[in-house]
Amino acid sequence: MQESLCSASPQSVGRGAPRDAGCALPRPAEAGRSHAGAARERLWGGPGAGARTQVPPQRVLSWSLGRPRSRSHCRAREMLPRAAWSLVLRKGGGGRRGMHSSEGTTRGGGKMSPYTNCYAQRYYPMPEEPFCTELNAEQQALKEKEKGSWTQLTHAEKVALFPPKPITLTDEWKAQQLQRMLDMKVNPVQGLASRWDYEKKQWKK
Amino acid sequence: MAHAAQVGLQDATSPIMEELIIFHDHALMIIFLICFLVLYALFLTLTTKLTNTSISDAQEMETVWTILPAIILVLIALPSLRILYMTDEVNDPSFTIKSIGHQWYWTYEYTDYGGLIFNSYMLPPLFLEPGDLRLLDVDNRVVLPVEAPVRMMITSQDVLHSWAIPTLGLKTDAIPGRLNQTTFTATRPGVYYGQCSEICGANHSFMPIVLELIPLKIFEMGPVFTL
Repeated sequence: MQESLCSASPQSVGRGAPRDAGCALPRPAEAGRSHAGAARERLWGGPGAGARTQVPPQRVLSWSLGRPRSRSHCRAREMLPRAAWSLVLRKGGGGRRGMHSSEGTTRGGGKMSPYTNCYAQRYYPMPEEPFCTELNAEQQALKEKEKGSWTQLTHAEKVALFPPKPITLTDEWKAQQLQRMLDMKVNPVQGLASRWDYEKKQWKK
Repeated sequence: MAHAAQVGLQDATSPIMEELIIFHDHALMIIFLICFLVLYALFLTLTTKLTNTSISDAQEMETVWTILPAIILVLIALPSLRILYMTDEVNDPSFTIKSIGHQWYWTYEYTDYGGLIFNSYMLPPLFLEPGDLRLLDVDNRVVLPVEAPVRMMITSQDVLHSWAIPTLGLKTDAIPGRLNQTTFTATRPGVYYGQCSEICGANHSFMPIVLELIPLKIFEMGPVFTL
């Protein structure tokens, strides 16, 4: 499967590592992926990469009791380079005008590129610019076709052009999210958690 | 936080918000009565067979429909002003935190007992753990004690932002060059979410606020590193 279209590969540092790296959520099954799905992956840069963003946050201090942090062994090993990396980023990535992005030469005094080495800025997590600007001929042709009338596009092409759905809209994630909301006792007076029976672990009748 | 497709207000976590919910119910009931009355009158007007072309004045009716709305407005204004002044009470806060808005993240300063300053960025979707809330969870939450009056001093470093937590009934603008103050007392421990509420640029939707309210005993133990 084609990885990111950027020349630099994302580093797996930080808070549990991005989901494309080693210790991550199980990927959806790749077998049986449709042509549109494969085309969309190449266009958008891999599954879950539609919002590929930058070095994960540095959780320096916390009073945290609650949320169990898994994968602490990964994090401990990555803490030191991550601390140094986040210092670099806090300084603006080494200066914006002098920044060498994966796209090529620096842009003197022009628009700041939202991505640096395949990561967005921490304070700019959802840039509007497309993540992958290096497209092959087939993808380029598709983009040109998109500029025309959309009725000319086939269903598969429309699917390929559409940005991927966030992983948080899958049923599995929604179930985990609901479980987390119930654990947090969200709206326990008249809202969600008030309708859940914590003893019997079911919805109240 | 709100669950998907939630229309009503979130449950209150502070006494002010409880008052606001009661006031909201009160004002909404008045609005429904007025709307129902107007729709009924409209219905009658459209379906009546009576015609009268010689009415010249209706002093009594005009008097009623001047006095009655004035009374209704007073009935709405009195609880509203009461809550407004209640919000402004500063009841000796035990803790002060500064919240500074940037494009597009928040900085929190705990400078009462030592100097703790940290940034709070939204967690990018790629770094969410299973079950996390997309566009709501942040890396560093604002940790505060429950049942202690807290003062928030809110300002901004660049453009207008607004620091809002619906469940606490808080929304205060972060204005560059100005310090706004808001106080609250939370009654329940938990994690409470809010979002920036003043348009501030491209990533206005991606700078949430998360409060983590914990028992005072745990809070007093001080910050610990988590790995």
